Amino acid sequence: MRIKKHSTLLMLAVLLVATLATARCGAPATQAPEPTKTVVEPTKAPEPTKVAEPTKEMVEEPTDELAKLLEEATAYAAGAEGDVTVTYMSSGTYDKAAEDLAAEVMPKGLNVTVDALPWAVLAQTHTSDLISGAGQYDVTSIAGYDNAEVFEFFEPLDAYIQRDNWGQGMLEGLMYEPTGRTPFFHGKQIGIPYAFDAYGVLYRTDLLEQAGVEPEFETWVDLVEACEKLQESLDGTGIYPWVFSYGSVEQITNIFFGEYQGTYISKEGKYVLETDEAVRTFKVLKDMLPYGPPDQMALNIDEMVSIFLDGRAAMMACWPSFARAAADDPTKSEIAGKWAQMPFPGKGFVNLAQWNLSIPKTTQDKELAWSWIKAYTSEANSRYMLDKYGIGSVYESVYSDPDVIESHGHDLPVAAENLKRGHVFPLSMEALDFLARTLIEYLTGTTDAEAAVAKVNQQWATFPVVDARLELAEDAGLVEK
Amino acid sequence: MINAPHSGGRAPLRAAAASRWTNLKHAIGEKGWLIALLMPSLVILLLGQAYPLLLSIYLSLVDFSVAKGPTPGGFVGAANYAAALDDAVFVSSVKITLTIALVATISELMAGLLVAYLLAGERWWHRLSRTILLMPAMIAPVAVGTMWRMMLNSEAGIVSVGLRALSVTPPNWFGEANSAMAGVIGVAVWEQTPFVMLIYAAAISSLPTAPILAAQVDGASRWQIARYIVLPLLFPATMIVLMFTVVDSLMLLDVIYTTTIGGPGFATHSMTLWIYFQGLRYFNVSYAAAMSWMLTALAGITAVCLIWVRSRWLSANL
Repeated sequence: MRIKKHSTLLMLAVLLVATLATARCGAPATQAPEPTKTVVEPTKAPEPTKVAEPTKEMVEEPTDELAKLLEEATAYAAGAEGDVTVTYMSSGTYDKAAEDLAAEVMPKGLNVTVDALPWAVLAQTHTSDLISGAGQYDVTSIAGYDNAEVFEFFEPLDAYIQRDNWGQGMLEGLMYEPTGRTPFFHGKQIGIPYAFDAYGVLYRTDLLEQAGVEPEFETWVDLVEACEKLQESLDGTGIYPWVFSYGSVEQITNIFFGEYQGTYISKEGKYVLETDEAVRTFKVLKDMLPYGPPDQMALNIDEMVSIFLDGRAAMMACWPSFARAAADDPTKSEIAGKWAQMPFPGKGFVNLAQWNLSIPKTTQDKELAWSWIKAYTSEANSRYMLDKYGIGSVYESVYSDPDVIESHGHDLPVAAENLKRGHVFPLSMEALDFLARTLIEYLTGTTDAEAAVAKVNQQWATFPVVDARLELAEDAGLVEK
Repeated sequence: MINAPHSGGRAPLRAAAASRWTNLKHAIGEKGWLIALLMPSLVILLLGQAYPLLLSIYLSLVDFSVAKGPTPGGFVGAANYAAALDDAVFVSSVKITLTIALVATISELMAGLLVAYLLAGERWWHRLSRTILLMPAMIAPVAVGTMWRMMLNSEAGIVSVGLRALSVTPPNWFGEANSAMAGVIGVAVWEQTPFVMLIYAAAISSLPTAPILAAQVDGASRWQIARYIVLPLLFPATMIVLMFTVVDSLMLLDVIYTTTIGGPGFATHSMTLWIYFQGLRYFNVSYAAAMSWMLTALAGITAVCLIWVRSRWLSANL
């Protein structure tokens, strides 16, 4: 019966965490020497070019090209022999790319076990593993500051980075400085970026052109006005001006982050929203509701993307990597060649899904782990992941490659620009969930904007802000002055 | 003959051993002997259940949240329990949980009894129907939730398409607070009714035939027989079913997680979901432990009340 399945299991799970935590072996690894900081000369991102009509060849590189890239990436793990267990989000992209590379390095002596976990349990799995000292994973994939509570359990990577001069050529602001993109703890870099996704708005080029709408909005208020124009233009077509996955609870905060121009943490170090600005933002978000499908409040990400790919919506806000590869594939999409990404609207910040590889302090052979990190985060593998899985590359050179500009010019250069305006959010999962759910309550008419913001602030005052997130918020100017 | 000396040598040994055995049994006594036999099981139970449960009580009385530190903090008494009572989401989750438990239990009882009564019999189609209707209980609850989420999709779900074919506008199932609650309860009822039907089917098949035949001879209608004979005779089974379904509904998590994840907003945030989020998503371990005990207390009190009602009924009627 479920009584056994849930009640007992839940309590036992909680207990297990605590038991392991009390018994954790906390022998910290030797601190790496303080490295000198290296600054990458910023290069200008290429201007977006005209949308190219996709062909089969653009979508899939010839196999020998991909094999060559994998071979090049494998060279970074040369001489590394032993077993490494790594985690990735189970997405059919990052994890599959890791499996491809793992198959390539295995004959050379590096046995990599790829443990792909759903996003919903990835962070909690890491947390349990780290605080218990179980040491199940040698390399972990961490998304932004999702694991900020346990950043102290990760090995500082500055010495490795300096020794191997790693990260040269990556996008401006990704490495070396705590800019809210790559994870830092007390000034030390603890992750190497391998992929990023800047939250974006994808649109139908033909429909916006037909409606006379310029795909560049300073704020979300402007986007709402464009929806009105699109509504008139699309009348009777069955196409919605806008689609969004309100049913995937935390997604709505990505739009909030873009429009809201206030701070998130008070001088006293407590989470708090600036009331007037937050109320204004809540109301703007509600103004968008009339332009989406009637069941939008229940839509999850997959359902939303499906509506956009079927050609039933003119604009969609999403993580572009969830739609990019399919949207360009004529066999999976009705809109291939008819879509593009616009600069993310709003004067707030663009939220980043910034994926990094880190080494827990419990890892026995850190050099072996570092070998895998180098192979996976190398420029060659980054290009492989883009070409095969549509994963946004972290290397600047990719965006000036004529082939990429031709095949992804409608999308990736804008994504790279959005990245420069973005960083990860400074909220704990608890604070994020509470904001998202209260916002949804307001959008579904359960409460009014003023009461909703007051409710958020009241609850937020009880949530602790950990050091790593406070440092992030200070660097990003999100702390009350 | 060859073995005789040996056999002769063993006999006194056996007798001595038997004597020592008898003396030992006598010394320990029957009660002590029973305890000795039960000891291995008791030790396993103690280690497997009592220790974690006691540890969770301890955790609920200290301050342990990963955001504050990776090890348990100091003793805070009942602060975590008091915090739960001050937590608007928790209070709301109690109401939501009780609503789900009440509505789902009543629906499951009525539907299960009705189906079991209608399908009572041993003809092949009775057995086949019962087997088919048992299938929802054999599907993993997570799969049930996912399946129903797809079927209730307002645009393309088979239920919505069917309703549109009948010129009925389908509700926005999981997009509005009330319909989301209805959806969650509906899915839970669909999943749990076969279990209720199974218990009732077994109870109905074992009912004494004499009172029913006597009522038929006296000219009682089918409804009168059901109302005045079958239902009272099924009361003990009803109490057992009630205990299982109430507790099961109080613990509902998988269906909620796979259909609404507690949304929209906090509209379907049950106690179990809030405990799950607090314990395994936010790592507020002590707070989650305290709320788990409050949920366990709620389930325990409900079960005790039902047992009391059942024993009162049995003593009054037997």
